[in-house]
Amino acid sequence: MIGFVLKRILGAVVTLFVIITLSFFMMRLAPGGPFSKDRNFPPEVLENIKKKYDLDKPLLVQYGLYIKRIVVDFDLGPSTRYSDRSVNELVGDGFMYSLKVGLGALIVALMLGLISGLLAALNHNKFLDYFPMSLSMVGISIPDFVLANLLVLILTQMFFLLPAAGVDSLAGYVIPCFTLGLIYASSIARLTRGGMLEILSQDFVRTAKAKGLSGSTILWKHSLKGGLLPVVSYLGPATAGMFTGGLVVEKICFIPGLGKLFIESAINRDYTLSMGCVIVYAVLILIFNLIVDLVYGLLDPRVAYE
Amino acid sequence: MQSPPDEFVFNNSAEPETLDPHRLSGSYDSNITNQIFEGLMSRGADWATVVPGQAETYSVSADGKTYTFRLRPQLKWSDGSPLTAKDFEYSFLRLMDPATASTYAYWFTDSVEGGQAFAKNPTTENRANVKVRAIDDRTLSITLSKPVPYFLQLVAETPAFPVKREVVEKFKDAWIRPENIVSNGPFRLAEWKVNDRIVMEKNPHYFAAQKVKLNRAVALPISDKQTAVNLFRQGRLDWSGPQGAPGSLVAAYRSDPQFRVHPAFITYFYRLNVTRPPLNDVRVRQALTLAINRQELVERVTRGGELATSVYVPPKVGDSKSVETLVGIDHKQNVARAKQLLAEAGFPNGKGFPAMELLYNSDETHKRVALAIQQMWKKELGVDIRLFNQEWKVYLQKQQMLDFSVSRAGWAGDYPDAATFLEIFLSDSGNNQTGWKNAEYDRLFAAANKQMNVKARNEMMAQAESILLREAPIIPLFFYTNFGFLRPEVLGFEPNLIDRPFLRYISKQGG
Amino acid sequence: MSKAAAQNDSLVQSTKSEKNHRSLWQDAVKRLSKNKAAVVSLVFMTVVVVSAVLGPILSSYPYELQDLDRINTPPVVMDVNALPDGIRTVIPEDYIQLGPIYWNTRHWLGTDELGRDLLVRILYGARVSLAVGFLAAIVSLIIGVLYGSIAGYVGGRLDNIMMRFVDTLYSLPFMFFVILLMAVAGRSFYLLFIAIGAVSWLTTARIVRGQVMSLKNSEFVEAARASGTSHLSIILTHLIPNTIGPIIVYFSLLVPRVMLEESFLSFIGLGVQAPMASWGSIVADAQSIYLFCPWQIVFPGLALTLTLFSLNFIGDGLRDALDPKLKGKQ
Repeated sequence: MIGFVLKRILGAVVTLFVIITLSFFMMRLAPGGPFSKDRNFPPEVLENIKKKYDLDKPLLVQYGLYIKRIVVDFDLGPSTRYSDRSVNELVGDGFMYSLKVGLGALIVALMLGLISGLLAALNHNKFLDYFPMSLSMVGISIPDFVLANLLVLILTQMFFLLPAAGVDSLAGYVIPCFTLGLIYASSIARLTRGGMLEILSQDFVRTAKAKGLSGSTILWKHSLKGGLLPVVSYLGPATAGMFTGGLVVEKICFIPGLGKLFIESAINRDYTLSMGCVIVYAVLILIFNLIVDLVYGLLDPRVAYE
Repeated sequence: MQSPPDEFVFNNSAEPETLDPHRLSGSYDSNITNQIFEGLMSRGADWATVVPGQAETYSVSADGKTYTFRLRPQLKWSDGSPLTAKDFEYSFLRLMDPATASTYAYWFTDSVEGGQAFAKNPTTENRANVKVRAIDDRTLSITLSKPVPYFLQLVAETPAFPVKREVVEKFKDAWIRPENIVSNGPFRLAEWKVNDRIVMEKNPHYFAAQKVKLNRAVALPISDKQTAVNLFRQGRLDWSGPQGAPGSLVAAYRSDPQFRVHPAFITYFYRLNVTRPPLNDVRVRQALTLAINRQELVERVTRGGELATSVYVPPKVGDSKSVETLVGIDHKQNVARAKQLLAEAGFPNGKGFPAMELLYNSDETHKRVALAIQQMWKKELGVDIRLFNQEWKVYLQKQQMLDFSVSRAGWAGDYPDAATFLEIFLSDSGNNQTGWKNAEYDRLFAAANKQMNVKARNEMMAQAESILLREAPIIPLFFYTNFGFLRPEVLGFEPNLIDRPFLRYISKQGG
Repeated sequence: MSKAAAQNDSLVQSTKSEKNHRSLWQDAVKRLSKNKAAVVSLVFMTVVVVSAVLGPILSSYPYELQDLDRINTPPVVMDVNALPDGIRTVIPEDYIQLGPIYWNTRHWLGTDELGRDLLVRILYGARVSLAVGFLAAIVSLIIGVLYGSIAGYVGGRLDNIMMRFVDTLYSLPFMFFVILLMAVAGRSFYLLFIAIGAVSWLTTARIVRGQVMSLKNSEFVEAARASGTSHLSIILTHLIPNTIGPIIVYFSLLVPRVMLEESFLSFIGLGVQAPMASWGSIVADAQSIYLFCPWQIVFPGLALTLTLFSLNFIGDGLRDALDPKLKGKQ
């Protein structure tokens, strides 16, 4: 088990390194740099700024310096756009907001997804199957910017129930958490239903039924563990996705989170900031995948830690 | 939910990149910096007028080259320490030092004696030769290498704001953080959370602190316009910000008494790449200029109260001039003339006109304008162009490399003078970006800037602008408007050309 | 084992030989035709495709034609003589009264901010959206099938490296790469779906690899190998055709996902070039005025949502039909 974890962590480090390298060169390849602005810097000024960020050096040297700085100092460097700020700080602050919204979204997604998925599976081919499943279909078919705008319109402008934007109060979290959560809830519901249906049709459940075990015992003791496996594996990337925030939700609900930082830094060619976001995102994905694999092993004895 | 009467909560539309007065470049930055710092001269609530700031009086020598500023007595920084002419001397030198890498250093390096040498080669000797001198604690003298008629305008803007040497040298880049910063304006920076909020509090050490009515101001960087309007509607914003509503809704909001629309100091125009055929033919450029129905464009397409224009420099306070333009009042005649010019250039009814692209950056309004103009050129001239939308940085790069035929552009004035607009089309300007060079234009511009007689100077500027319009490397389309929701209890926020809130003049009823 | 592999191995498990191929397909069609939701969705999609092809040809308005006299004209109004509100234009001659409501006879679904006919734009947008969806999915399919089958067939070390690479790409933020790809290679319609396709082939590769691995030691492949068939031709003629079931299923679920992604790109201003329109870009265009002109967001939004809805139903139906064992699983 420990050997497995170590091996996976080693693999993750290699993966991370490849990702950093890929993103670094992709970013530099994209036209327009962090200092192309609508008001051009005089050439001498531009030289000075480039020097400050090591951008005057050959690309490979820049890459070496960057890797060295992350590995040795754990420092993501100064932001090229917000010149008085370090990327560590920007990404850290943004992540705290996204984390809060993400946790809320995760709760919404799990509650709604699991409940409607279980309902559907236990009422296979009945109204309580079709209804939540059709609803979840809407969930995966509606663009999030339409959903977010709709919620804002109804809940804050037609009925003054919630603050229109901002997360200075708990009420401010409702719309972003629901918008983000609903999208994932739909997938979780579908996965739960599918997983449960498969398990419920398997021999050991039938045997248990034949032995006269009650429905709830079968559900809780025997089926849930196996039936939720697909959900567990889905939750890895999904949780990482929720924790790093969504651009749309953050923009419409005015949340200073990571999602907005990420897309905007890529568009603004803020080299260091967008690299920082890539790294945070990748690290989260790798961590959650590791957790998923571990949980998977606990739930499913057939999976040995390779 | 409403803010207390001594607090003003407003939308600043975006996160400032920096608040360092010598490094900033955008209006989101300067809208904050202007509250927490103040230069020798300052601005009236209408922005265009210059009023005494940290200096109580000034005098100009007869040749217009030497300015002597007399500071107010007992000036203090926000930490209570004395602010002297030495601080201003240090600040001007910091601005001009190439190591500071200021976008606007050229305003002073180009005109202050010794400035250019220092900017090229920042040696101790060159530094000592820059003619910005603190004569005593309250007297600062600046000697220019040539007269600059609008010099006081420059002195009132952010690049000329003072910074405190000890703080800057101690904290380096982090000096501007709320925990380190020391400033001298009517407000001081209390809190700055990136992408979240900037909180400013009244600075008790400001010389006119008793005249400042607000105790606190909060600036929010809300980029989504609809979100800003929604927050205003809920009473959580006192002002929805510069351009603080979706542009396409201005027409509907105009009837709302809390909504105001007023002219902006920004020209919307198209750049033509004169190095690329067929745009290297002035007749083609003129034809394209003439065929656009600007009135229709602002009334039916942009609909934000914009002012249609065929000239380039926006009208401003206390300014009269006669600029010649190709475009007449009668659109039909313009089109007839355009057709004729195009035929003379060898493309009768657009026949044989090569494929051309119109470059613009991703934005709702830019897209609508481009679509409308595409249809106008097609309909009136038979000229087909393709729209080419790019994200911001790619757009900038293409424009910079002259990798376009027609490109959307806008220019906002930095100070209320024609020079801030006309200087970008000088032959050697980095912001020219059309490939157009004209010696007569350069000459007129330089001559105008030596001319201290206002009327004669305006005349020369107008002549230069007429050349620009006749040669048509650009197609002016309209002057932008500023618009946004402002709560009726807010007093003293005069509409100004750059929509900058001057918190020192603002108060709220009951406050 | 990691997430996506786990997610898809349900699809991977089925092993079929060529012999029962035909009856499998016949069974599948039979099962599909019993699935009401899928049949209704298929009919709906047929209607969408036919009107997308014919609509813009039959209409008297080109999709890009602006009529600046008719900006934001609503499809229906209660009163043709109501005072103008600054945003909408109502020209009484365009409307006829039926009951208490006036209907727009000139532009059935109203017009947009430049007075363009919304119906034609939605029909034209259908072409673009569907084309982007299908072409991007095909691109992802081609890359994924080739990559996956080579990895699966060769196996061993190469397989290990190739799949590690796929794992790595899985941890990359998707949108970041699409944005940069579009910036590096320029913005064109073709690039849009190539970019999306190029980043969404990973799951296809995994599915195909699993299939190929389970098939490569089966009798008919052994037989082909013994008779001297080249590796390439074994992959192309024997292995890939046998993975078609799960691929079709995955494909049908990928198309709606890609369409959704395209709408997100439109939202951040990186969609198709104007005056071209996709459903996503029409919805995104109407974003700021949806309060005043709800029809501009409702109709294209409905078209987009219903189409994604039916594509997902068809995908579900296909999966159930092709592999009854997996009924209902994502």
